[in-house]
Amino acid sequence: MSITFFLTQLALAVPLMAAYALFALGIVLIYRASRVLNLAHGVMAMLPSYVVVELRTRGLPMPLALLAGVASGALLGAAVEMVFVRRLRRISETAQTVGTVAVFGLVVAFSARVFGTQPVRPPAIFPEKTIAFSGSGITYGQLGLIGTSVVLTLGLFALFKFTRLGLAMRGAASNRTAAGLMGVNPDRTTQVAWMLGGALAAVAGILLSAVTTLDPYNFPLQALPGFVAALIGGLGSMPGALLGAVVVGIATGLAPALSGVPVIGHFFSSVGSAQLLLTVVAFIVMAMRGERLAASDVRAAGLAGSVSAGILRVRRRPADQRQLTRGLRVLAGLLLVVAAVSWVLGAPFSWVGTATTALSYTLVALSLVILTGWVGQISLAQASFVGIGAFLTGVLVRAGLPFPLTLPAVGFASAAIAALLGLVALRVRGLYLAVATLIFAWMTQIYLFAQPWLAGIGGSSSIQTKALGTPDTFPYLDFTNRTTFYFVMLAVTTAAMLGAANLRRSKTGRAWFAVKGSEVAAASLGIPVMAYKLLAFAVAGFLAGVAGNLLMTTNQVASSSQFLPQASLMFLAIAVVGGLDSIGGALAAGIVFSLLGQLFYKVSALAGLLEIVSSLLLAVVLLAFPAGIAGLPPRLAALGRRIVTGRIADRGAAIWQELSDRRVRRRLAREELAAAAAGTWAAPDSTSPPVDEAELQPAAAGWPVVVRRPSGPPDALAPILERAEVELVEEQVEARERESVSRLAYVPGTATKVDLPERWNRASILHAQDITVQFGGLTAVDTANLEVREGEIVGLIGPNGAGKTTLFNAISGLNSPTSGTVALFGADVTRLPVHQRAAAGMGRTFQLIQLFPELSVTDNLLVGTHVRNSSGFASHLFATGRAIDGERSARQRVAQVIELLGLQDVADQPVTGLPFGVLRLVEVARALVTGAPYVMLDEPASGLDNAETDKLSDLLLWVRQTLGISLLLIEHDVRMVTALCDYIYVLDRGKMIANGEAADIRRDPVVTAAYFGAVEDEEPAAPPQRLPEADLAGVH
Amino acid sequence: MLEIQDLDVCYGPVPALRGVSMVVGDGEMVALVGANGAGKTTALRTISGMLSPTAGSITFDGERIDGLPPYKVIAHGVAHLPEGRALFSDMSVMDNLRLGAWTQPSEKDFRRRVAEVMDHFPILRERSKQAAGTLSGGEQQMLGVARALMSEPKLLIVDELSLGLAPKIVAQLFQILTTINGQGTAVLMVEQFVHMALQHSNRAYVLAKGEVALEGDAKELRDRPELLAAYLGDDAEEPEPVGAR
Repeated sequence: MSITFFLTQLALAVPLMAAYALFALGIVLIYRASRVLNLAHGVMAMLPSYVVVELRTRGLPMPLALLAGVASGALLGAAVEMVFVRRLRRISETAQTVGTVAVFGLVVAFSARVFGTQPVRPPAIFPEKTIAFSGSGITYGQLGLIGTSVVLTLGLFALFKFTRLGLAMRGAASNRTAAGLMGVNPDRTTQVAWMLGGALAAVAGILLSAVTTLDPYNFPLQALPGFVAALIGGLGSMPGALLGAVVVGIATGLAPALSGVPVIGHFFSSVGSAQLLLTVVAFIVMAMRGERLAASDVRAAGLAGSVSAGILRVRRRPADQRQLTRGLRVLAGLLLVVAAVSWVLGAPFSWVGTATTALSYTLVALSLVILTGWVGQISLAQASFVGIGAFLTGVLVRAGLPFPLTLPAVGFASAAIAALLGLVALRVRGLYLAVATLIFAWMTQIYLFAQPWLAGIGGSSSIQTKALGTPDTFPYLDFTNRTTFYFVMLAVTTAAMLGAANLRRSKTGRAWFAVKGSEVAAASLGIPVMAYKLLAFAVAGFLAGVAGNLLMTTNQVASSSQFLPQASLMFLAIAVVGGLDSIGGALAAGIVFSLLGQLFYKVSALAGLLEIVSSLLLAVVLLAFPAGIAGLPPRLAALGRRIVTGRIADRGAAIWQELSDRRVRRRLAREELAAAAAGTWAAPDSTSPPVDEAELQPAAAGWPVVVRRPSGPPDALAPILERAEVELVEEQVEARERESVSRLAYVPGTATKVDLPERWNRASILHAQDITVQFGGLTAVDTANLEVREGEIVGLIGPNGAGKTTLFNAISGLNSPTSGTVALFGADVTRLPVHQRAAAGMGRTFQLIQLFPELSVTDNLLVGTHVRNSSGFASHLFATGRAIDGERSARQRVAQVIELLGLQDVADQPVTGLPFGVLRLVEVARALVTGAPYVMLDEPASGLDNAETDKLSDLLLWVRQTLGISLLLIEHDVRMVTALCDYIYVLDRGKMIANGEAADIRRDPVVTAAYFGAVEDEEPAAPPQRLPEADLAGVH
Repeated sequence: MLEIQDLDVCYGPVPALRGVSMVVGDGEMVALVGANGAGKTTALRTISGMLSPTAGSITFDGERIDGLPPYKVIAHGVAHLPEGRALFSDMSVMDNLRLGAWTQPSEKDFRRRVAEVMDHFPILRERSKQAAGTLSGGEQQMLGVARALMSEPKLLIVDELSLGLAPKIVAQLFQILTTINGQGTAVLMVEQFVHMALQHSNRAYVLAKGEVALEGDAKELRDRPELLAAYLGDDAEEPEPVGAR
């Protein structure tokens, strides 16, 4: 292959490059202004192009048509911002992204209906002449595209650099609140950014369509390379986006040329090679830009501002408030199944088909419920997995495998492929992931489903489904018979829903919700975040693949046009309409959409409107009922209450009040009964070994010894929990273990500092040796040493920017030190990830509280039992005895910790809305539940006032005294540190400048100079000392 | 100059301020102190328009400003340096100042103001091209104050000037704040270091559970520590639903 061939390919890519640059600039502009990845960017390019075509065919002069086209893009941008982005900001980032997905679906469906689905050739804007160019040629249209994009880019840069509007937009992008305080109206700058972005998309679309063709299904995807370009540039940077466009343009141009390269060549020899290469480039970029655990995730976990129960923010009812008892639920489930089976016998033929469709929708929606609703990973590629499942079924059947066997085979194969896509998701999250999956769907559609070995010639594959058994004998199953197949579908979907419900109530389900709530917190509790994300992708892929398998088996034919990215958007719509985290909602929405399909098929006047209506439904649900169908019952109840109390005057309201009072009283009585019944749970576990008295009384020696079990993670709680059991046996009282725990429970004000044996005689719990952490050229921590010995409370203090948090993160595994080692209980853990350190006995809390906002206090603590529960995924899926045992002991443990710390009053409350001081306590409790003998606290007093800080200090003293847990805390509050800590390390500018006992540290002149400031003559240097020094001494 | 009357503010159903009335006179330096969660920050945010009151009024120089969005409040001459500084951290120091002067578009005024604030904070002159996020914590707070001064406010509202800063730098910043106040800008500040706040201000309000519990001359309050302790210490705590039995 010659160099000129390469060069020609590259030159041909330049016009595309120009279009991608305009797309990327628009995407970045919108992202900076509103932190939204505008997935509707492609349709903002398409609609204006159609406007130009329409106006030209009606005889409007070209300049006017162009102007109108660009204006329509700007208007569309403004409308999307006003209707969706602004209103969904209150709910979540995900909701905003799904909002743009709704716009995408709406405009595509609208365009298909109004302008037809056939590709049109828009009128030329520039003269249709070609300039000859090294064996090929470049048209005036392409030149115009290049020229326009250069001019627009320069204009945009000038706007940002030199104008007041640009300054305002940069300011609002950087810090919205601050911009408002300066006098900038941030809503207006966002609106302007969306208008500009829409106009840029319009220009790109109009010029691009003039040199290619325009159709409602494929043209919107032309903007995807723009997303790749924006991602390469880091989303926030406009010069970066331009660079990204160049890279993407070159990749597009080079892809066909790669077919000559050995080894990888044959991957690039077919249609869609450019899409394949771009997907690879995009995934590599994301993998490189991503972080192991996003440090940006260390935020308040939505505790502060989350008000509404919305998409991805649905509050779960605590277990004791579920209305149906287990027996009733089983009965209701059985009745449903009987109904589902029996109605078919007398139903008309077409309704059976509709029901089957509903079930297949449910199956795919369920995959999204798990992946998006529970784990927070958006996928816009579920239809692609259905397609992969269908085509793989074809391959397997042609190879001789009959139906029931293809189902697990295809399921697991799809799961594997989905997990591969999930590998990308390990590095990116949220918006990035949505784009990654959309790019994957695009590549699948254009490249993978064009491979003859998989999807047949022309993207259509057919098979002959074999029946099981011979006709007229039993058993005989003809899978092409609709009724038979309905039962197969019913069985599979029911199994899937039951499995999902089991998972949700298990360790696996909690781990998933934890990953969604806060990845760093999940990891700090011993949850392998990456593995659980991959698992979710695999499960979702399995379900979608199985749906594809069933589809192929009954239809006996599949075509790639069934699995367009648009179909993925419809599945997302189904899941969202159902209520994104609800299994039952998925079923309800599956039925609704299937019925709609039937209706629109039957009523000819409505034909072709289904796509529009389903997109509209998604939009309406998003805007008006963010909790979906699953959220309807409480809403309807509230509405009913409003009507009742509103219409009927005082008397009516009074009756209502009395009724609800009575209901509350009845519920209280029921709860009391249940609590009494629950007393039996505390019977001593016969499997636990008898406990040696000597081992139990370490408190006499000043501080207890941590009991190390021969297997499993170390458990700091074992002594106290076992002591509770022994006391129960010894005293031979009727009292429940619950009470005996409560006798050991924390009583405020009783904890004291204990007399520890000589420091160097105690075992080393944690030893960080010669830790150096460098970021780029900056050395944040320089050969720092820090040790925590058994039973100690150690403080790490230092002025701002001294590197305390960096050292802390190196110890907990959130960053990897450039050199040095971290040893936990004498074992080197330097190379271990966060979750493995947690499993080894390292617990922690966070400066900005990282509780899981959707879970109750109890559920938050239950996540802390993760490392103590050895039951596996399969046992959770099938709810085996092992899973139930694990669950029972986890709940028992949590109940005991709640008792110990006196959290009973808030146990069943959701953590959102609890006072700040309580949240801190809950976070400490969660770290204790893990049983970690070593716990790290990151600025535990921040946000607490003096009195609250004293209470926390008291509790921490009790934790050490009673449980023997060793603590390391970073703290600004000098008063707390000196009152609490046995030993203090002082870090300054990355170096450990002093260590010693609290009293020595306060007298150390080096420390005084660095930390307290040598300004004692001017101002009281330390924070206000409410307690005089003498009082502190008295505590010792 | 600033008159707050019977202000009620709620977060959803939870009342944060109840019937708060306060006054800041011309050129005064007023401290607002109280325990965590007493509503200090809420009060400041309501004045600058980040929150809307459910009842009561805020008047500034005779004009009602309650319920206005922040970008309209600043046009009245009230500048707010929020908790945590809220800088434009990826923009240069100069651009931060330029945005600070958003309400004063005249380029000539801008140059004069820049020169003035640079005199207060000479270090910012050296850093003027640097991104704000790359400054040290103390320098960032200085930029925060400088940026707030760029709009030539009649009233400067400062929330937790000392937050996360070494005591040495805090003392320095307070000195500058006093100087600025001496040049005629009224200051209303929320501060957790009560003694430092009282030392530098003329008058003070003590908030407890969303109500004004005490008000008076800063010096007098300083000499009555038992009064302050009553409102800042244990007794002023919200009743804790946990831990007690």
